[in-house]
Amino acid sequence: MPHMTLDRTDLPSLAEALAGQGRRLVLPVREGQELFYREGADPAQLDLSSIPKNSIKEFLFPKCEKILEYEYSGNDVIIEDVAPDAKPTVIFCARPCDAASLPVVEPLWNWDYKDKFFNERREQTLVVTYACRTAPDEACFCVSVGLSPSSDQGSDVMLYGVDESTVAVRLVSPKGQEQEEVFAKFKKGEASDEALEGFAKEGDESLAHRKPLDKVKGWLEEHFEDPLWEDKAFRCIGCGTCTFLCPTCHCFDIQDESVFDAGCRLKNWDGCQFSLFTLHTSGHNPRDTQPKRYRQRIYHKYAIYPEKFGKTLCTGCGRCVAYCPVNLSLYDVVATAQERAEKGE
Amino acid sequence: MSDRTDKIREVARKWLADGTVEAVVGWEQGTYREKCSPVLVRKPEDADRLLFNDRCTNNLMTYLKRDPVRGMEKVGVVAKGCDIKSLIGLLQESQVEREKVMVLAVTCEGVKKDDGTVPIKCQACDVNTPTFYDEIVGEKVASNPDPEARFKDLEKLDAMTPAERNSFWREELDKCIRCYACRQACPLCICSRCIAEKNQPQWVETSPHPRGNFSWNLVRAYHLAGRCVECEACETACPVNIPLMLLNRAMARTVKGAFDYEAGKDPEVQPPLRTFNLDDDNSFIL
Amino acid sequence: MSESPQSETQKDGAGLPEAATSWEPRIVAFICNWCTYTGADLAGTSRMKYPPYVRVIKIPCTGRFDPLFMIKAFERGADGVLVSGCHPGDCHYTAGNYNARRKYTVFKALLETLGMDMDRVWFSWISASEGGKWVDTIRKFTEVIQEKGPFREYREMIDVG
Repeated sequence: MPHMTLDRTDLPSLAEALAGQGRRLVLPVREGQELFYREGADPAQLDLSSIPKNSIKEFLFPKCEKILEYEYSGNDVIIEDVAPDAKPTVIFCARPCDAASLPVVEPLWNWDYKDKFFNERREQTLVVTYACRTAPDEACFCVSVGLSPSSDQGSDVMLYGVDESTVAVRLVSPKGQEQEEVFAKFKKGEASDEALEGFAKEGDESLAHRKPLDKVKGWLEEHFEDPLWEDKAFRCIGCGTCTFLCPTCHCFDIQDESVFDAGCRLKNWDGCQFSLFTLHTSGHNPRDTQPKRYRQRIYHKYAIYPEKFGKTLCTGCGRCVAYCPVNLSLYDVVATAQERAEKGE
Repeated sequence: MSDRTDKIREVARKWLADGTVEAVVGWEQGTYREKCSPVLVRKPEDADRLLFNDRCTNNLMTYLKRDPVRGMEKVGVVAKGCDIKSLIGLLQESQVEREKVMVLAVTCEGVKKDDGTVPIKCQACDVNTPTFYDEIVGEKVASNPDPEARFKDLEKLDAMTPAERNSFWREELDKCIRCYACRQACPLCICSRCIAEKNQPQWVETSPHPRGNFSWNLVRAYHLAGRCVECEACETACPVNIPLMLLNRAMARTVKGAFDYEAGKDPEVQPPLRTFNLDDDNSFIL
Repeated sequence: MSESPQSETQKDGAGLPEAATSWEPRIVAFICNWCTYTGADLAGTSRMKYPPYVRVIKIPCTGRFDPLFMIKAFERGADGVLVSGCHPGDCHYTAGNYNARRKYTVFKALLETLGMDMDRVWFSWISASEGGKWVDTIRKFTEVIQEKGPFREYREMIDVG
C-alpha cells in the first residue's frame, strides 16, 4: 500500500494544522547546544537535527501535579478530589524511543489502580513520531531492547524523512487514521512500502554494533552481589539525572503542602538514586550506598519490571548514557552483564 | 598529555604498591564520545586505567565526602589546579584531614566541555600549574588568565532592570526539576543531610513549582557564597541547563568586592562568612 | 471548593477575613531580643503610635537570622521584611551582629541578582533606648509598602497552579 508524502518544509504548517483543532502543541526546538521538547514553541523553530535532551514523559506525567485539596474545618478534614489537568495534545515529531515509552509504562499506571491522571492525558494525546533515519546519537541503543530507529510502538502517526525534501506518512493507530484529512491537505506524492522498508533497514544497520540484551535478566537474577556494582557505580554521584531524563522512569513522591488550615497534595517526580528514596523513619536505609541504589535502577529496568509486566523498562534512548555527568553508562553496564552471561560467568 | 598519563600511572602504582594510599581516585577513558569518567583504583596493576587529557572535566574532590573514599585511612586523588581549590575549601572547613589525602597534582592547559568549547573557569584559570600538592606531574604551564572572563556573563544581568532580572530567573528556575544534581556534583555541598531534605520544619518545599524552585536555588547559591570555587560541576550536571554559574559568580563577585576574598586560595585563611571586620560595609543598614 | 483554598488564603490575606476585600500591608520584622525588641517595647510603654501592620518575630540575636526566615515570610504572603538588631559594638553576644552584617551583604546581593524588589527588604540597627527610631522605621517602611501595594511578583509564585 502506498503512503502519502509531503514536503519537509510543510512540517511546521502540519504541526499548526494538528494543533489548530484545539490541541496544545509540543515539539522539539533548539535551546543553546541542545534540543528540548517544548510546549507552545513556535513550529517554525522545529528542529530535527538530534534527539531532545528531555523526554516526552513530562507531558503525560508532569514533574509536579496537584491530586487533591484539603481543608480543616473544626475537627474535620474536608477532602476534595482534583480533576486531572488533561488537555488535548499533539506531540509532534517525538522520537520512536520516546513514543515507545508509552506502551511500556501503561501497564504500570493501570496495575492495581487505574491512574486517571496518566490515563486521561494518554487518551487525549496524539503522538506523531519522526522516525530516525540513522541513530541520531552515539548513545542510542534502541535495537538492544527490541525496538528500532523506526519503531512505531506507541505512535499514532509515523513520519519518515525519506530524503532531504520529502517526508512519508504512515497512519498507524485508529487515532492517527482519524487525522487522515489533515495530513491529506499537505499531500505531495506517494512512497512505497519498499521505500519505508529500506529506510528502516538503514536505521537498523546504523546500530548494528549494539548488542542484544536478552541474557541480562537471567544474569541479574544470579548476580545481586557482584564486584561489578561497586566497580561501575563507584563514580555515581546520585544526581538522578538518568532517572529524570528517562522516558520510562516513573517514580514519584507525595507531598502535602498547607498554609494555615488548608492545603493540597502534590505528586512530584522522585528517583531511586537518592538516599532519601528508601530512608525509613527509623533511620535504617536498605539501600545505604550509591552502588546499591544504582544496582536497583538496573534491576528494576531489566529484571523486576520485565518479570512483573513482561516489558523491559528501557527504550534505549541513551539519555542516561549521554547526560550522566560522570559518564556512568547504563549501556556499558548492561552490555557487560550480557557479555558475562554469554561467557557463562 | 600522554606523558602526564604515564607519570600519573607511575606515581599511582608506586603509592598503591608501597601502601602510601589505600586507593587512588582518578580519571579513566569513558564510553561516550571523548568523555572521561572517574575511577577508583585499588590495586597497583589497575593503575594503567588512569589517564589525563583535556576531557578530564570531573572534579574528583566530590568523592572525598562519599563512601567508600570517606572511610579510607589514606587516599590519593589526581587533581587539576581548579580541583585543588575545592580541597582547600574542604580543609578550611575541617571537612577533610590533610594527612588523609595524597594530592597527585597535574598541570593543565585547560579542559573542554562536551561540546568542545573552553569553559569560563579555564579562560580565567590562575592555577594551570598547581601550587598545593604532594606530588606533581607534567611540565610547568604558565597561567594567563583573562581578567574579563569570570564576570563577563554577569554584564547581561547587570544591564537588566530588577523586574527583567526577576522574570529572567523565574523562567530559568521554572525549568528546575529538583533532582539536586547541582548539589550532588558539588564538592563543597558537604551536609550529610541537606536543608532541602529536612522536613521538621520544612524550610524548603521539595515540590518543583515556582515557589519551591525559587527557595531551593536561592538557598543553594547562598550556602555556597564565599565557598564556591567556580569549578562549574553544578552547571555541567544540571539536566535542564539552568545557568547556575551566573548565581555562583554573582556571589563570588560580591564576596570579592565586599570582603576582598577569593575562595580556594589559602587553607589557613578563614572563609568570609566565618569571620568579620569591624569596618565592614554598614551603608545599607538603617 | 472550586478555587484552591491554598491560593485563596494566601492571595487575600492569610486568614484575615477583612483582608479579602481590602488589602493591608503585611510586614514581618525579625528583631533581636536584646536591643530592637526592647526598643519596640519602649515605644509601647511610652505610648508612641505607629501603623499596626508589623508582625514581630523575636530572635535571640541577628546572628540567628537565616535568609530562609525571610523567604518563608514572603512565601506566606509578606509584603515587606525587616531585620533589626543591636548596633555594631552593642551585641549581647559580642559579635552576632557583625556576623549577621556579612550575611546580609551576601544575601542582599543574591536577592538583587535574582531581581527581587529590594524596597521590600530592610535592615536596621535599633537599640533598646531607640523607641523613637523603631516607630520611625516602621512608619517609613509602611509608607513604602503602602505605596508599592501587595508583593505581586512573589505572590504569583505562591499559587501552585
